[in-house]
Amino acid sequence: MSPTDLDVRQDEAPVLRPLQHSGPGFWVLIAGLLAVIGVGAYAYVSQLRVGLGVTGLNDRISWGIYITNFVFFIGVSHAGTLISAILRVTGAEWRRPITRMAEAITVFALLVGAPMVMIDMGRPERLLNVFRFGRLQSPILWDIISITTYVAGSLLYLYLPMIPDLAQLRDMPGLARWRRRLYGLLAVGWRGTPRQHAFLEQGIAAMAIVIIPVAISVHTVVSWIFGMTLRAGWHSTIFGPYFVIGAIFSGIAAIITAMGAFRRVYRLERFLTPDHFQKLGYLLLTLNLLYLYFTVSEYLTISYGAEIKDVRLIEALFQGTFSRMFWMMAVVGLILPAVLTLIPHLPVVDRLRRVPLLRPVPVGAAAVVMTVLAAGMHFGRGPQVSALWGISHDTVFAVAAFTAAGAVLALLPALRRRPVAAIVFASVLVNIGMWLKRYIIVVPSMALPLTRSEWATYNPTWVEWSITAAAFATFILLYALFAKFFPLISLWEVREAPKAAPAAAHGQEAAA
Amino acid sequence: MKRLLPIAMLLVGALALVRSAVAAPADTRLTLSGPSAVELGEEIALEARLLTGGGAPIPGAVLELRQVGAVGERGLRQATTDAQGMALLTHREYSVPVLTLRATFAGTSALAPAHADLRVTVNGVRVPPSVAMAHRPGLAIKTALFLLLGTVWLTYLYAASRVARVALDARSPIQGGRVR
Repeated sequence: MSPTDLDVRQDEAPVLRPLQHSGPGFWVLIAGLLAVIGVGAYAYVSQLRVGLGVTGLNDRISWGIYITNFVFFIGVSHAGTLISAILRVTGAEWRRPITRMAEAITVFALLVGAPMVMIDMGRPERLLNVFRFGRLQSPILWDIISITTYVAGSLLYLYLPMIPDLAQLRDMPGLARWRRRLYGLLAVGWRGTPRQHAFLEQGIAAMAIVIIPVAISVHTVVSWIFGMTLRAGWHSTIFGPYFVIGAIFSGIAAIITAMGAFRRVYRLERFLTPDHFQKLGYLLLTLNLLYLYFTVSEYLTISYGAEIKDVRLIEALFQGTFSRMFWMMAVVGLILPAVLTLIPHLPVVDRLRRVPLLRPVPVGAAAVVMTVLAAGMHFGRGPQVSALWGISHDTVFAVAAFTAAGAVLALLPALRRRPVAAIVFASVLVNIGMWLKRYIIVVPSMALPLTRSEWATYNPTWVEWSITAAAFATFILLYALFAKFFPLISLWEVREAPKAAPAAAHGQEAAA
Repeated sequence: MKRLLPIAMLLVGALALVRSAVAAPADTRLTLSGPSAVELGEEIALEARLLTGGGAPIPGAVLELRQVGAVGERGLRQATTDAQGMALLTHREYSVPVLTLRATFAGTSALAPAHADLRVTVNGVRVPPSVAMAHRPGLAIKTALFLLLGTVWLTYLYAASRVARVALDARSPIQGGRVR
């Protein structure tokens, strides 16, 4: 018997089961994702053949949703750093079941996000020019250096804590021979001796410490690509910390979303307890408030300065062309998530049940219909069309917003009884809001006229939307495949947790 | 009643004609002439002439000289037209190398507003770069940057070496029986 055979326990079965069996749902998911990726690949080939003319990008707005995706995914990649490295360094024991999911998010988000820059360039071979003609004072060169460093570090940081679990898989019966060989290769002969444990802990500790400044530097350098220019809305001294806070915020939201999905699909309730969601929910709320503070500080400062270009940008964001997106970001990405994370502490929410208009099903259906109609008008008809069937665009958007708000209010009492669902819902909203936020950082500042000319216009085409959808599908595909080949929970770390922690977690779960 | 209707229509039509004749201000034309290039600080003497659409001079009108820039206009000085509809406007420039000057007539209830532009190159203006940036970082900054980067990669190397030690330890016999 191999030494690690003894470690295979019944209560770990939910974690290991996905590695042994794949249901029809998994294959349907993979097929769907591959179809989306296929459409995205076709779109990219079209772009390569014809050029950037097939996109909505132009000489004025050269960074559209590609760079929005880039900043978004780099932000999401901060999940692994914060959850794993900071919590590990500070000795937070509750982190143990969630570290691997967080570390995997980091790697996959970087692998999907970084190529977005090349896609935006139109001619990917021009990336080599950064190395051939790169200047040390250029944030773009340092962006490449820091992201490369971060990818390498994140891969190593994901791999190191996997070694004991890989040894367990190597010794586990019922797996295909090639997989056991692969696990054996990756496990580098792990037998769990005290010396091996000591070496492993040294490696993990070193990486946990070094990966924190690396991650912070990555998003700071990304922010400098904007902040080091003299454009309105970008040239700001707080852009570094503003981006880092935003990245950690969206990173936590991403890990909560992933936890919520895998908890439900793979029945991981024993490992991912309500206590984990509640603690991450508090972190999410803290970062939410910090981000709100930075946002208010940023806009207040440039509004008070009242330079003409800044005033024009603020007007466009608050009440002009980009106001719908801006206020949607504020409500969906900041205000609603704050309410949802606080919901277990808001008994007043239960009174909403008594309001006759707030029945979840009818108001929810109305919200879906109105949102689809509004979205269709916004994206399908172009901004120059001001009315549909004699009804003003703004009226449709206002009704859609009211019904959506009503639907959310109708859901609140139900979510109050399901704190995990409320926090997962909040994190999904944060993800949507943070993507919108990145869009309104990138596009309006480029659309703003620098001389006495018109605002530039930008309408993403099917090529950009297809590649964006393919990017998200690739991220989900990589994660789904990772979950098929490696345990999502760091089993050996959970096993080594102090005994009091799981008991407390079980107690809280039972209470919930 | 039927007789009164055409009269009323005639009256309304006449009233509209009179009203339009009273309300519409007369066309005006403004011309601006002057040097195309001057030296730094040299007086730029500009001659503005305000005429009606029919070519008659408009005396006593107030003209304003403005500088037109990328972010708006700023007023420089004013002058009143003489009997020939002419006004002399002067300005000295010390900082802008290519100046766009605009003479404007704000208009009255009887005269339509008008404006005319003239570009004047001012020789000898030295424009400092708007951004003062060192072309290359100095040795100290380069050293600091690469030391930081080197430290990070050395730490990676150290962590990778720990994996190598784990692999090497796998070859040695287990001491002390069963472990974790």
